[in-house]
Amino acid sequence: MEILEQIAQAVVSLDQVGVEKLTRRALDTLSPYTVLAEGLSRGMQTIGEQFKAGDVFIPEVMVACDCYYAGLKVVRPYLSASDDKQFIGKIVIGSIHGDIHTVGKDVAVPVFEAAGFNVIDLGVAVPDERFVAAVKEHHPDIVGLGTYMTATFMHTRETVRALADAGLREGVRVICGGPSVDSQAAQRMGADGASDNAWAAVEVMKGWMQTRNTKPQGQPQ
Amino acid sequence: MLHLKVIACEIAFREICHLAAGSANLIDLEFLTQGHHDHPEQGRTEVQQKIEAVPPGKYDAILLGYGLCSNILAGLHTAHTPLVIPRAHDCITLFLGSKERYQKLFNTRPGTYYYTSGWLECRRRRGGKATDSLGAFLPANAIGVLPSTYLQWVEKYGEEKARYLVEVMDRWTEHYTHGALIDYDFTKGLGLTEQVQRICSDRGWKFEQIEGDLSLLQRWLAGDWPEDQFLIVPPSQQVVPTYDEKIVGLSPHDPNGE
Repeated sequence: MEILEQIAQAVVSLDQVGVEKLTRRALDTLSPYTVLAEGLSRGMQTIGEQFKAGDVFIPEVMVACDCYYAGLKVVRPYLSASDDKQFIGKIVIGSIHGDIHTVGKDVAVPVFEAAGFNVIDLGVAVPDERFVAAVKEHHPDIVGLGTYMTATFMHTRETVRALADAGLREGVRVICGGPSVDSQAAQRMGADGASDNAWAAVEVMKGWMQTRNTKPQGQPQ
Repeated sequence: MLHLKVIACEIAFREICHLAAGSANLIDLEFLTQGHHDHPEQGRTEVQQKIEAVPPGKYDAILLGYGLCSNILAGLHTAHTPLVIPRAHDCITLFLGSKERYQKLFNTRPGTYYYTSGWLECRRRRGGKATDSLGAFLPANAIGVLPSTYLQWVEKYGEEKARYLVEVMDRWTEHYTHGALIDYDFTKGLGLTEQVQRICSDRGWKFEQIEGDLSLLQRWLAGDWPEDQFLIVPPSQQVVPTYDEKIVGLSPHDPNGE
């Protein structure tokens, strides 16, 4: 088995020590970006497929994320500035105000990173003004709102309005994530979409990045 | 006197039974297993089947004892007898008496895990041990994976990693700071306080006791259904989440859309 496949398999097997060892070994002969994209990220893709098929549960996905991060920690010092340019987009993400849940976001962040996004994680129960400040500072393509309860999904309206009031809404896409989100409802609240799993969100966001010059449509109703 | 059929989550077993016993109405009770919010599609299917099993003409209304609960309610419909549903994001509203009171408490401190007799008892009601070390503070299996999945994990990854996966399941509570017992006069003799205090002590949470309020459930069982507190679903309509202060609303039901 080639070493990149072994790395991916170690992520899927939840073997953190193995991921670290194999990643170090791979860096002897392969570029850090190749190790990241074709080893660690491929492992995350596979665990996503298994999750969608119902073969693994959230705790296993979370430990796979830990494995991915363990490998990323090994690779990161070797990534060059030119590797940064290979990001396909930038996301500012956080659990929406009032929502202290973190599991969904903690899965989404590494999945988005593994898919090639540069992710800035603002944490949990993020006040609207922090989203506004982060958009001003980081100029992301996308704002990700973690909404893990039906009650906090409703907060989307206020966060989108805060971005609009700051004159920032037209420059970003807004996506909601969580177990009970609904894309049409998210759009009615001014976001651009919603997804109940991180891998599906990646597909939506990749589509947005391909049409990044078109303006987001969402405005709170 | 109304003849009412209640289909409810077992989480509210004691509260609903207590009120039904003193009700002026004739009430038939049916409780379903707690934990469907973790598998909303499965839960919705089961609740819909229970609605469809109700014979036409027998009852004045079918009372659904659920909150929106991860959208379990979305799409539920009735062929003949109207459904009556409290406007609630989840069952905590049912125990606190109003969605406004729950919202106020939630806004004050979102990191509170609420306990009632139902939360503490339904694990044992299903044959589990209240003292199981695996997720013992939870009423059900938070992510729906114990105990059979635990055994699968042992087989797949070994015992050490399987136990670690169980620990990982707890991560969703890492920002919780308080455990609050919602109780009533009639539950004060059940030893719930000691149980929740022990859970809080184990998890490093502050313990809090909140006086429950049965008035919403009481109106629901009494047939007093103000529009701002209850959704009435007539035949040919279905439940939809509204994502606003109403929580649930109606849309036309398409029998061919299932």
